[in-house]
Parts: sequence; C-alpha cells; structure tokens
Amino acid sequence: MATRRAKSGIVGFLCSWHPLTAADNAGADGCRYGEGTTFLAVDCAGVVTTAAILRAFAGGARGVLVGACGRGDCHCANGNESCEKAVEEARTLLELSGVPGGRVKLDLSSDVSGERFAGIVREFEEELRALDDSDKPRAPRSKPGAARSRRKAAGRARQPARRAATKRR
Amino acid sequence: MSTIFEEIIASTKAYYCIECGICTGSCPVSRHHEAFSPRLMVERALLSGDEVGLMEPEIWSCLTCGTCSARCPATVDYSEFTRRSRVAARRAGGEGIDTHAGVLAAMMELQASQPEDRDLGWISPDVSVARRGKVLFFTGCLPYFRVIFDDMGIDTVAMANSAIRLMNACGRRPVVSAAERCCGHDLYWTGELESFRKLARRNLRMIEDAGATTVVFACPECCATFALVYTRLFGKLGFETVHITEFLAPYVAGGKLSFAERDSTVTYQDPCRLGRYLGVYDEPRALLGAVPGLELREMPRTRSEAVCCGSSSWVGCTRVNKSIQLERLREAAVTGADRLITACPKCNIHLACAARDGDIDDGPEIAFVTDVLADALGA
Repeated sequence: MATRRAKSGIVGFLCSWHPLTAADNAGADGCRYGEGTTFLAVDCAGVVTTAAILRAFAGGARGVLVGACGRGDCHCANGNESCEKAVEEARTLLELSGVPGGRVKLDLSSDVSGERFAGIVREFEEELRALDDSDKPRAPRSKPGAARSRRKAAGRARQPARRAATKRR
Repeated sequence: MSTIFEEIIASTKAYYCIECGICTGSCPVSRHHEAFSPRLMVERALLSGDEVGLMEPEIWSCLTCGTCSARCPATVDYSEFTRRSRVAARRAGGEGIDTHAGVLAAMMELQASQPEDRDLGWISPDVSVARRGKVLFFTGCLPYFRVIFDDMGIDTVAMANSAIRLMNACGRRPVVSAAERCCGHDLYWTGELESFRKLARRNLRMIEDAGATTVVFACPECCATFALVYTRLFGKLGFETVHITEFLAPYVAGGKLSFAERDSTVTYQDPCRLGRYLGVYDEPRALLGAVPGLELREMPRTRSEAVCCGSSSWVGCTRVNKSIQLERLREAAVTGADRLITACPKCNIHLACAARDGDIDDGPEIAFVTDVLADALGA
C-alpha cells in the first residue's frame, strides 16, 4: 500500500507573502521541480492547522510542504512560529499512525528566489523518495476465509515495525 | 411522501411524546441554555420540513448523554434522533462543528484512510503484551490524546499502560495490535458514516487476526460502539466486549487481584456511555471499594442520574458546555473528596480542562480509574 502514497503528490501550504512569491518566481524563471505538486495559498502560515496537514494525508498526499516567512518576518505578528507548533504536532500524530514525520517539511524563509524555492521542492522530493523506498512491502490484505495465513503474514510484518518504534523513542 | 424528519421521528419513537417536559427538566444543556429542549427540538424538526439547515443549532447542542431518554416515560430515543438528524445535516452539506481546530476529526479521517500500521512505541517497557491471544486490549485514541492534551497535564498513555499493568496483575498478557484503528465513535455520532464503516471493518478484521475472544476497553465510548453499534451494523460479534472495570471486577471478587492501602477520599463520575448506555455502574465502585483506605463519597446526582461531563464527540465547547462542567465540579467539591475519579478518558479531559479554566477553589483533582487502581497495586 506504500505505492498509493508514492503515486500521489506533494501538497504545499504557502504563505502568500514570501513563500508564494518565491513559488511565482520559480514559475516565471522556468525552474524545474517534480510534477504532481499542489500549492495552496494561505494568508499566513499561522492558519495552517494540525488538522489541515492530517487531512492532506487522509486525502492521500505523499508529503506536505509548509512554506512560512523567515523568523521575525511574519506580517501577522507570529504566524510562522505558531505554524511550527502545528507542524510538530502533526508529525507526532502521523508517527503514531505509522506515517514518518519526515513526510512533513517546514520551510521558514523570506528568500523569494525562484531557484531556491525549486531547490527546496526537489530536495523534499528526494527525501520522500527515500522514505518510499524504506517503506517495506506489506503483507497482502484480506482474502475472505484466509484469516490464518493473514495472521502469520501480519505477525511477520508487524514485528520489525514494533522494534523500530521502540528504538526511536 | 414523508419529510426527512418525519422518518427520523418515526424511527426514534418521538411521536409517542406526551409533552410532560421531563426531558427538558433532565437535560444538562437546557439548564444552562434556555432556548434548548429535547422535546422542542423534535417539534421544530417537524415544522422545518426538509430544511435540515434550520435545525443545525439544536442538533449540535445536544450532548447525546441520554439523561432525557433514561427518564422519558414514553421512551423516546432523543440521542438517536440527534444522531440521525446529524447524518441528514451532513448529507445536506452541513459541515458540523469541530472543536480543537478539527484535529481530532482529522485524526479519525487519517486512521480511516491510512494503510500504515500504528506505532506501538508508547507501550511502557514494564508491562507485558502479546501479539496473539484470547484477550485483546483495545487502546483507542489514548496514544493520540496525549499529543493533543499534554499541555493540560493529562497523560492518556499512562492510562492505557495502567490498564495493561492491571491486566498483567491478573495474570493476563493482552494483545495490543498495531493494526488497530480508532473505533469511530465520534464519526458515528457526528454523522460521518462512510469513514466510520471503514474503521469498524478494519477493527473487526484486526480482532479476527489476533484470535481474541475477549476485547477489553479503557474507553467506554469504544466499548459502547463495539457492543451497541458494531453489533447493529455487522451482526453478532465473535468476541465478548468488556470495559476494563468489568474485566477486573471478577478478579477482585475472586481474591485474585488485591490492592495496597491508599488513604484518600474520592468521588466517582459515571460516564454516559458506560452508565446509561451499557448499564455498568457497580463494577467501578466495587473496584474502588476494594482499595483499603479509599473512601467513596457519592455525588448527589449519580449512576443513571449522573450529569454528563459537558461535551461529547468533540462537538461544542461553548459557555453552555463549560457551565455544565463547572456545575459538576462544584457538586464534586461539595462531597469533600480529594479526587474525582472517572472511567472515561474524555470525561477526564473535559473536567480537567474546566477545573483548570474555572475558578474552583479546593476542587478535587481529576483522576482516571486505571491510574488510581494501578497505583494501589504496589505495596
């Protein structure tokens, strides 16, 4: 099932001040970054809630990029800092659900260079590709009446996940 | 051709209403919100025809605590009326009300859609769990709640670990499965049936895979959802469902589980799902009574008369909800208890939040039943 995520794209929440300008510049300058990226402009990164990030994954997103203005540069007082908190909370909740926290990237920057922005997206795509590769193939799901074989397979697939989880904490 | 509400009214027996007003007198919301009444909600629904949107304020104000239905002489099922109206409201394009910026609803949607297994890293190293076995411990949303309510000092992971520790003390190593999902209680009660069914099917498959014959819940909402809703949708379940207090009570009665002395005065909050929905009143009291030195002082409104913790399914956190919670906390403070013990993690969260926000002087500390009992396991 890891393939489902691999096929879908990145959802980006971009603050309409610096990050969106950078994305515009990337388009105007003809910078290349991967296909299947959906950008949503928000008035301030402060409106990006934990729920919005989780819902993007519930909708099948492969990764979520949050673009906020650099520290001290928020036009709405401290939206970039409050979005840091939402990103952190979303990562923890995703980890609990077995989705690596690395699938959420936060870019705090007031640099409006299109090339830099495209570089950030390309870098994130690389990171996501690495995460796709590390997703182990899963036990085949439900065939009615095949509970016994499923149990065995599930047992094999789940054990390493538990060990990895214990190590991380 | 009957309207949407006429059908809902027929299926919840609301036509039998004899207009006695007992529901309004019983309703914790009506006490603090004079425009709300279960009976009037039904009458307004009849007048609204198919305009479901007109009913939005009412159907999202009801707590579905079931106090009205428990007392109704005509046995009208107002909670079910509310639930079915919410389903209709969703179908008509209503978005419902999501508190906590929607994070809890989003978390449930994520669990309904995500293919990955859960992380079980929260399980304490000093408890013992199995991968397959006859007894399964259903964790529900407890590991997730800690992330969201940590800043309030509520450790829901400790509640889950305490429950496992108590089961270990009974000589049982419960299965905790990474394939588990949220039970879907809140989605069911807020009208999101599609995601609810997905979660329910996954959970039933997970339990079948684990080979469990008894499923133990720390959360009464999960327990009630399995026992009452899953059975209605999927027929008889191939396993027994029990709340942790029901699971432990026979061990205490049989002398296989005993507690050390803990001098303290406590009072007990009956959760609506455990009490009025499942009829479990005696087991939590029997367990608390088994702790030497622990004195249980009942609040005036208790058992089936117990007041709701003020919010359910993460719908609504208004002045009305807060007033209900503060009234309940004052009632608990009058008993002189040091601790208000509840058997539902959500009651715990809601009452602890109200205690923190409201100025309740010398109010009792809010504690969860498994934490209290697990603490009394040691010498």
